[in-house]
Amino acid sequence: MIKTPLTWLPPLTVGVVCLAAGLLAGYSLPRSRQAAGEKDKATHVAAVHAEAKAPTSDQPKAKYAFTFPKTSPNAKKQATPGVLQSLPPAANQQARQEWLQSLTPDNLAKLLEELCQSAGPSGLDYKAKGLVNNALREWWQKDSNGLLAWLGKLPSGGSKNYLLNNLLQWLAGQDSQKALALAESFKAQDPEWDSSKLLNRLVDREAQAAWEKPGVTAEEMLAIYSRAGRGRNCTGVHRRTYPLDFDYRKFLDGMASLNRQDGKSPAIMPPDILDAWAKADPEAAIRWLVDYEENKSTKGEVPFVDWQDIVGGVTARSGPRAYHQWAATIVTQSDAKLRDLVIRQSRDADIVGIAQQIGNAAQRDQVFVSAIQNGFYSRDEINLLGLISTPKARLEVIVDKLGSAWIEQRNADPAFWPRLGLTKEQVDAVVAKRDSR
Amino acid sequence: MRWAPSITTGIACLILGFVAGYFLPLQSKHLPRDTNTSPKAQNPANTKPVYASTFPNSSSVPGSGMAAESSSRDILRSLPAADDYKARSEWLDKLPADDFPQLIAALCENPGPDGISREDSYAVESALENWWEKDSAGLLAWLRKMPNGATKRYLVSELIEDVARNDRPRAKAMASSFKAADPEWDNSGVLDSFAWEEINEAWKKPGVTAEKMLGLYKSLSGKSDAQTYHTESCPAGFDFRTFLDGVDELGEGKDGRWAGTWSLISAWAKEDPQAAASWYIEKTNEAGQGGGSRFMGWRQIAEGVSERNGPQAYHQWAAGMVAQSGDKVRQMILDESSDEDLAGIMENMADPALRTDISLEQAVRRQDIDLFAMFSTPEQRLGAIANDPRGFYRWIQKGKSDPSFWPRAGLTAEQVAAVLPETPDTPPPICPHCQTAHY
Repeated sequence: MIKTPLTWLPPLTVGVVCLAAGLLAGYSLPRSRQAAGEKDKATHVAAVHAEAKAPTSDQPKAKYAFTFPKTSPNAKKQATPGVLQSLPPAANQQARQEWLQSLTPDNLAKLLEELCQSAGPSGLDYKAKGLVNNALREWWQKDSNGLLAWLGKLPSGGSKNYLLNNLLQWLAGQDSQKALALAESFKAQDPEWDSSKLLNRLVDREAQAAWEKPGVTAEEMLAIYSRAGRGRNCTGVHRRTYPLDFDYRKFLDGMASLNRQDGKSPAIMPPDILDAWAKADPEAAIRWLVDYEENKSTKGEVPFVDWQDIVGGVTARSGPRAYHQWAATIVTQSDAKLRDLVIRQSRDADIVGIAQQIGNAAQRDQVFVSAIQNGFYSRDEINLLGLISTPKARLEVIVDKLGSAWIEQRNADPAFWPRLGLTKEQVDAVVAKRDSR
Repeated sequence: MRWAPSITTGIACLILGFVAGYFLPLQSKHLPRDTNTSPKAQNPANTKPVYASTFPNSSSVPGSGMAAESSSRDILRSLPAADDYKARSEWLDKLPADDFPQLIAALCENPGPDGISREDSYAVESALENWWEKDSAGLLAWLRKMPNGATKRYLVSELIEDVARNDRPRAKAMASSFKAADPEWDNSGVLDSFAWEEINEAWKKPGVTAEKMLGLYKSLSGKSDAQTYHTESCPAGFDFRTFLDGVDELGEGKDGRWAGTWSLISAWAKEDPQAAASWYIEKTNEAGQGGGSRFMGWRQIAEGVSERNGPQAYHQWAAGMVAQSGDKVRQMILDESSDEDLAGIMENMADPALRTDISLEQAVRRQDIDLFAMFSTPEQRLGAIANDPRGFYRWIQKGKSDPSFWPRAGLTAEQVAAVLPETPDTPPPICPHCQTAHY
């Protein structure tokens, strides 16, 4: 059968067919992808290295071929007993302290390594962190040069950041110049080391000391705060007392102008500065806040400033009753921008306090309605609804402002409407009346 | 023999083809991906993608080789900056499933005692979420292959909590399955997250009882953070006392089983201020300030009463309680009051002598020089300084360096100096824990 067709098949045809068959067979022969030249990233491995393990219910049946480094803490412990194994229990602080004192620098290095290695993405708990900090201090006291040399050899990363920052922050408490010099030297040696936390802390210490100086100016304080890191998060220390005649406007405008330049926030800033200004000069503080709210998109933003600072300042100066009386005149007589700002940024208790100072029931109800529609995420709208003067006014707000989906959701609870002094029938009747229009 | 050339040619071409075929490059590095996860996951032929990244090498901390890290860190160079959430999110959406292992490994690498940053933990969560959507089978397989340890437990917990939002039964099954494979994994945080979901749903149910809620709270391990927030309102007729007593009996725990209750005592104070206050004072007397709760305080009662009856009514009521209560309750109310409420309480105090004492004492506690000057005479202020120079240590030091300081309290530096003892200044002792002086 074979011989016959071959007798008349030309060699060229046979050659082409055999070449194709050979190519196909050769290509299909199993071999390592890596060997085939796929060396670029090695992120994928063909499913050829089998690992015989029965898949579980939610595990695919594919065979996976890679080996993780052995990071299991248990496996590590079995292989080489670590320093941590002799650690006294956390409840016995005295024994722990004595144990730490007994460790040689080599063992302190091992202890720090073990602790850092055991940290997952969630980090260590506060007890383990305390142990890390104490070990660093112990080592510093025993052999500061050895510790610095060891830290200098650490690869960049979370462990190095933590250890260096903690050691240098602790040192800064004793000698900030020395801490700063060490920080600069470590940074030069390892540009990847994130020294920003430490530097911010040093700037903050400087700022706190400067605030204590009588007659310190806004320009001087701005110069200090502008040296802090900049990003998304801001923290700060409540000062409570600021220098007399401090130019709050210049300081806050200066901070806003930094934001206008880079779109970022300072890492540190005193959180109660507007509060202090409102205590010293409420009218000026309010004028600044209103202008700020209106123009912050173009003039730049500042952290920690809102109406609550005005409340704090005025209340501390004149008491809450005077504040609520004054705020009541603002929400009834001022322009819409200021009224909306006050209502939007007031706590529920202050909304009630302000409303209680308004004699006219319709105006009072309007304050509650504005607060329900526009305000803090934690508004208790049910409570505020209940404070609206009449059942008729409450029904109007519910139907006109809150809408049918809101009503539908509350209808599931037979006890809900009576809490507002209403019945489901009343609500249904008003809804039907509105729908028929 | 006419067939001889054909045979020779055929054999030669077959060998040539075979050799050439063997050395032909394989497909490109991106293998076809399994995007339709569930059906394909059942078929071995379809579950081709295998993720072979180098996983976080936790031995890369001090002293060990860092060679493996450089490849996993490559991907971080293209990751947008940590504070640019929008760019990060868009970048993650476009990232092929093949690259997730490398990204997650790089983000979790060498986290250090503080763990990974908040921004990086968001990126890990997003990567897990995206990977789960694109190839859940591949993700599960990758996780199962990881060695048991803190990193795996972190990733598994994050993934399960994310899955639970849409498919709680599957998340529960995953939790059991991973626990079976890693018995040392403390999965109480994950189990608590399921319980919190049930608790939050239960609060919304009309007519839910204190006993029912207490049962759900009892199912919490007491080890993880609370995951409940402000409840819009409590069910009508809810038995606050039974519920709060029950939670109180659960003990403080390590977490916030109490955290969900802060808005409850506020809600109770709106309905029945006296009952809520009495309960809280009773607990304060039993167990010290806070009644064993880190999340509940007098401030919640103040908030509840002020929101329902107005701040003025609250301040009158609280001023009466301060005047009539014993030292412990009085101190608790004053110490736990905000600056605004303290001002309101003092405004409503009928006894001027008590008001003066409170203003002087609270001014020092709060380091508020303006309050110090508010409800007292200069003689009373000087008397307070003379009686407790150590308590006024910081102000005395400030007054020495800042000539404008004492005039803010209506005093002169000379007046203050005259009432101070002649012994050298003694600063308050330094706290061994926080290394600062407690005044």
